[in-house]
Amino acid sequence: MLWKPSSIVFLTGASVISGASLAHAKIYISVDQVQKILFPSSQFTLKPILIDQALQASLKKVSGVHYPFRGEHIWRDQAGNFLVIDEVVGKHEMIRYAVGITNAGTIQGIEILEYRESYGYEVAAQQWRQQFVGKTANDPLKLNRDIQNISGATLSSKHITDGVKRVMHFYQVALKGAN
Amino acid sequence: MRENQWRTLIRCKPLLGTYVEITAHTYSDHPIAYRDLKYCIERAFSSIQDLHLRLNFYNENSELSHLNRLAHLGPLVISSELKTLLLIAHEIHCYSEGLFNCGIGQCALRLDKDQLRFGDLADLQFLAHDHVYANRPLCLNLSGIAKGYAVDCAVDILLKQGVAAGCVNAGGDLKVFGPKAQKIHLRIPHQSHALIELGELQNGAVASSANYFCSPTSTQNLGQGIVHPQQQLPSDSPHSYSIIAPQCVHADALTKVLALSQQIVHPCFERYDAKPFIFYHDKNTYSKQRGD
Repeated sequence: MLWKPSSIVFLTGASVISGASLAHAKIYISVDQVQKILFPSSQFTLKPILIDQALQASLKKVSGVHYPFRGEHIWRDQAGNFLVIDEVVGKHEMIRYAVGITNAGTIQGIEILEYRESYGYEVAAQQWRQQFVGKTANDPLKLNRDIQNISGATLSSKHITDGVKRVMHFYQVALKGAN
Repeated sequence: MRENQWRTLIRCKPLLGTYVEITAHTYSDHPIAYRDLKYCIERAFSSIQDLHLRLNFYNENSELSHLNRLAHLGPLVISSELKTLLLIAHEIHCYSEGLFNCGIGQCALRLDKDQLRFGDLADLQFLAHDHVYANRPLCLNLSGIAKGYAVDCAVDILLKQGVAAGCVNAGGDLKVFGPKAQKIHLRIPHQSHALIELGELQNGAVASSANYFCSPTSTQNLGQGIVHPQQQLPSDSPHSYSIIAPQCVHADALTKVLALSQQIVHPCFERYDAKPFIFYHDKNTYSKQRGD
């Protein structure tokens, strides 16, 4: 193991932190890539579905997810397998993910496509700036897509659990009969 | 290192109750082609999925739940994966003088005090031929160490597959490997959208514990956060505790020792070649203390 502490952070034994950067975003894989990962031999066709108010209310009731479900990112292959792209929004983050559903109604796989810590970002950024005297804050605030290795307290994936519950309910009431 | 010829594949899945991100790098004339990275990452995710099923405290069908139900009734055979993790947990339990203790699962279940008569890691005996026996009924919860262990196992698989470099990050507990040092960032306590650059790490792990994503009193976050093994109460510390160590399983477990002891210098850290950091949050100011 080789460890080189940052010279910005570790100037003294106990110092006020400077040089902090703000929220980040990551795009992991594309819809095309996730299709190849979850169903390598399938050819998918886009099959958008209109979500009416009654179905939207039903999805919300079952999953507890308030963010509206959008039915335009649904793909189906000839065998009746589905790929559903959904988004969940947390306190500060938006996560776009894919659920592969087999023609037997089982989950083939779940994959995160994109993660953005942009939700409420502007407010949070302002609060952050106000707390640091002497911080270099001349750079325009922007999402950092280059930050790779982030440690920190565990971020719960409960939003995804609820989101997948919503997608599977949607499959039962709207997609299953389409096979 | 041919900087310009490196190609990278990053994938992320919800596992272990968090987001697990696997990054794999290769370069143009490396035996592992870019198209093979997908397979290598899939193997690593499969190993984490397997551990997720084995070690899940909240799944009554997991191997851990099986152990909790039956180990006090007679010798019980367990898998080599669970045995390895329990031995590591047991060792850290001893060297930390009980500060690290997986025998407090009942706190996550919010049982009454009358129901808190479970044993802990000290009551677990390791017998021959992968058998264990518990002197008292157990309620072991390995969530304070399992993510780090899963990260180490996933990195081992990537290395065995021949992946040149990469990183496995299980919700903030991460391990980097390969010929180049990688920048490590840390979330700031109570400003979790803000990041600070900690430094550069090569072939090592970082783990952090803090309460900034969970409230000790919220049922939504049942089981998250650090619980003091003697007081059996969740920690309400506003600070963030990080450990850098060669193995992620040690880094993960030692963050609990650091958070509960509040000591930058502890014999446990030296034993595992660990470097502790505390980031203090106090009235909207932040400071840090590190041990070298």
